[in-house]
Order: sequence, then C-alpha cells, then structure tokens
Amino acid sequence: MTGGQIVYEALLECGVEAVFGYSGGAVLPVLDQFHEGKINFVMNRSEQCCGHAAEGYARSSGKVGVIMVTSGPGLTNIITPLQDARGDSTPILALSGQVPTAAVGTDAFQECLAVDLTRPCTKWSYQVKSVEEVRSVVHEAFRVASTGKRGPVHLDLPKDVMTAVLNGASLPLPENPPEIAIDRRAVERVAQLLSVAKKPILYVGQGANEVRPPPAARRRPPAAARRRPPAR
Amino acid sequence: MGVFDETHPHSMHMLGMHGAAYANFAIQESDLIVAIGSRFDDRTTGILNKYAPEARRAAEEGRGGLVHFDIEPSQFGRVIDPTVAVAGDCKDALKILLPLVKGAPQAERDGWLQRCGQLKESYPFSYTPAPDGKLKTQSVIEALYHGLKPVQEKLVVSTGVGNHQMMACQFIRWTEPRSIVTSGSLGTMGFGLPSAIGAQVANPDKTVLLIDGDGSFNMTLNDLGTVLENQLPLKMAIMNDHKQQMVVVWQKLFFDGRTVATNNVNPDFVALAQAYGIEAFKCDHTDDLPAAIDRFVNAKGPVLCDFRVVPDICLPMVAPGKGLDEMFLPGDISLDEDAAPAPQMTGEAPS
Repeated sequence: MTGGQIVYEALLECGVEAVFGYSGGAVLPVLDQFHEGKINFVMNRSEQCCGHAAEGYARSSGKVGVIMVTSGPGLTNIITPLQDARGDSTPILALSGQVPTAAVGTDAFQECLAVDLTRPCTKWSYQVKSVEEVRSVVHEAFRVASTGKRGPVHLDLPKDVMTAVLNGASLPLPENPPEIAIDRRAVERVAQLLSVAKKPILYVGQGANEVRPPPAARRRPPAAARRRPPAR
Repeated sequence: MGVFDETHPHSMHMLGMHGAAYANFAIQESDLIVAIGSRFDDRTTGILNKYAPEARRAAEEGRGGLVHFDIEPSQFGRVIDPTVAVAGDCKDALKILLPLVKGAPQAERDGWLQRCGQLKESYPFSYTPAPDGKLKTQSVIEALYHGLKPVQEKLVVSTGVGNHQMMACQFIRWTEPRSIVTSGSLGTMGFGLPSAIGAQVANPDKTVLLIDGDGSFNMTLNDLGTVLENQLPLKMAIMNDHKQQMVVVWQKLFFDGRTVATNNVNPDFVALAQAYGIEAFKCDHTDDLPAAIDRFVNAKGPVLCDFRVVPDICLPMVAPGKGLDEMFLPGDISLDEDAAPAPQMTGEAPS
C-alpha cells in the first residue's frame, strides 16, 4: 500500500464518514483514494469554508470533523478555522498536502512552513516522516483531537511519503494514556459547599455536552467489565 | 444554549455581555457558582474585579465560592481562582458528586428559586418594534423560532457573528444538545454558511437553519455553490441591515458617532441565490412576515430569504469596565433619530 492509501484506510478505521476538502497538486496522492467513494468527500468553495464546514459537522454531531487541503495557500486558508476550533474546543483533524520532502525549505511552488504555522492554533501539529508511521500517526491524531479538552490537530503529508510504498509492517498503534482519576476529596468538598450554600447556580458550557467515544474506544469492554468499584 | 433544556423553569438562559439580565443578576447574587464545561470567558464575566462578589465573600467564609469542573487542568486559575477545582470528565465527577450532596434546607432553596423566578419575570429579553411595520432582526428571529417550533427537536441553527448572533441566542429557546453551531470564542464572521453546510452533511434528517448577518454572509457566500452541488435543504435567513451594526453601535457610543468602514454595499442576495439555482425571496414588512415564514419553513429544497431589517442596538449590554449587574437594559439606549442622546461611555470600546 502507498502512504495515501494508508491514510485513507486509517480514516475508515477511525470511523470517518465525511471529509471537507479542496484539491491541489501536493494533496493529489491522498485525494485520489476518495475515488473509492466509501467516504463522502464534500468540496466546499474555499479551504476556509472546508474548515468551517468540518466545524459545523463536528459541533452538531460530536464526531471529529475532517479537513483535507493542499499545501501552501490550501493550508494557510484553514488557519482561521483551526484557531476557531481551538477556541471552541471543536475536534478537528486537518490533513494538508506538502511538497516532497526533498523540496521542503526551498520555497518550492505552493510551499509553506505548514506545521510551524499551525502549531499555535492546534493541540498537535506534525509532519509525517515515513510511510511506516502513517497509520499510527493518523490514529494518534484522532485520539488527540477527540479526547480531553477536544480541539484541532494538523497532519502535514509530504507528497513523496504519500506515494511511497510500504514494504513490511506499519509501526504499532499508540497506546491510550491512562484515564485521569477523579479526585474524590475535591468532589467531597464540592458536595459540602452545595450542602451549605443558600444560592447555588450552575454555569454550564458546551464542554458539558456528551461526547461520543471514538470507534477505537467503543470496542473496549463495557464499563462494568472494567472492574470499577460498585456504585454506592 | 445547546446543552441544557432552556424551557426548564430553572434555566436562566445565556449570561454575559449580551446575555439575560436575570442570569447576570443571579450570578452576581449567587454564593456558589459551579462551572461545568465552561471556562469563565471574558464575555461571560464582565470586569473581573466586580465579578461574583457574593460567591467570593462566601468563599472567604467557607460557605460557598467558585467551583470549576474541567477536563483540562491547565484551565484552572486562568481567569478566576477556583475555590475548588475538579479535574477530569465532568460526567464521571458528577456521578460521584450527586450521591454525596445532602442539600440545603428546602425553605432556603425555595427562596432562591423564587428570587430567580422574580428576576426572570422582571427583566425579560425585549426590544422596541420598528416603526411603520418595518422589521427588526429580533422580530424576524422570533417569527422563525415559532415557525420552526414543530421541528425543534430536529433543528440545528448556525449563525455568523454580530448582532444577529446575539439576538438568535436571546430570542430562541434552546432545548436540544448540539443545536447551536456558532463561533463563540474566535468570533469568526463568515462562519455561518459553511458551518451550516457541515451540520446538514452530519444530520441529513434534521432541519438546518442559518441565521446570518449581511456582513458575515458576504464573507463566505461563495459556498452557495456547495449548497447547489449537494442540494442541501438549508434554510438561509439573512438579517440584512446593510451594516456591520454591532461595530456601528460601538463607533456611535465610543467614537462620537464617526462611522468608518461599517456600511455594507451588498449585492442583491435574492438574485445571487437564484443565480445558484436556489429558491429565494425577500421580506421587508411585518404584514408580509407570516407568509414569508410559511414559505421559508415549508420549502423542500435550499431556500434563502433576504430579510430587510432596520438596524438596532443589542441589549442588554455590559459595557467594558462594568460588572455583570451594571448592564444597559432594553430601553436604556436608543439609536433612533428622535431618541434621547445615548449615554456618554467611558473607557475603551469592547475588544
């Protein structure tokens, strides 16, 4: 399989049903995979629109919104949606084409320092280095976008890595970090305050909305089987 | 909005700069503010040294304070110092919390609930209707809300940024999770149309309503092509006052009425939508509003209505440097030509 095929398969593994994107030279090896038609590829009329559409998709459904753009202006046009998604904790995976690794840093046509530009406006931005790590990195990007304080993640995909053929095995998938245990003493303190307060008020934001577990987490055994202490 | 059912009698609706006066008063009077999945954004607190005086007093006396539940511990203390911070998934934390809460004597809580109810009755969202049967953004949004009530359980609303956005929050009662899609933090004009497209792709069975301003719509109207290509049955309502009215108001109040670069010369939005093969019409009079809403609501495919509205100021408003309870309320400021002069503002215009 090529890097582009692996990206596409990894998106399917992560349960992606729709991608908002725009074509361009550097992203062609990945875009070509969508010929299969298993994922709904929606072409908005500018990359900024792709980004906001992915946000609307994510905000209204709780799923990760996926953007796919080309290098250079394709990438710079999604800076606003990425910052917007960061501000409103919207889970977004942005995939951008990039000039071949050998041309990076030469001011090549439609080249920009993609990961440097997106670093301040994402939870994680990363340029894929080898075809072996593609599957693992896409899964990791999905996890980062959709867990914790949710937000945008950016993967930059050099054209030569996307056309390279995988000989041998992909890197293993990353392990999920352990869940943060709730500090029971802090919760007890809240309960005590709620018991004495005369005029309590709840100030509830979008972060209180139910989050659907990503497909990988959904395959885990149900909570009861994970040896939680019984509810008192 | 889009989290808790706002028709529940205990819901106090949106708080903050253009939020409900009753919500802002209640926050200032509360002795225990429990933040869940929210981050004390500056638009919800007013100036910080005047924020939550009663809760801060209660914290010092060990009988209340500010509690912050957040999944990201680095959020704690960024804006306010929480009395208690609970890191982790709020759902897990609340499952632990609920059995532990004993509750205050019912009489005390009844008094507080009554006070909140009184505040809601005394300071409802309101506006002054436009003269001569003209439309205001608020009257159109109220009509859209009532027209779409039969599908409210399957309704998603997206907005642009500006007065129309705040007025949508004020005059729609939000009941369903994830029913509002809006750029709350960054305030990105042009967010409305493409985000509505994304919401419709994610929810093909739902009704997606775009409430946009003319300024915001101008920024991304090229995405009408995506609506056409995918035949997405979006309902696009443009609140068209030919202005970037929220900024106009600030120019009038903080810059001696000098308006610069805030008047919009717009294309004919109806003709534009029709050029994309999209059903479109305009409405500019109260008498025509019921028929326009009826046609808009019952359209089968994509539809755009250009609502010609007269500009207004969005009230309540917590001005810069003011506490949440120091709002200008509906009727306090009018920018109509024959109205009393607007109050002199001090300090910086809002950022």
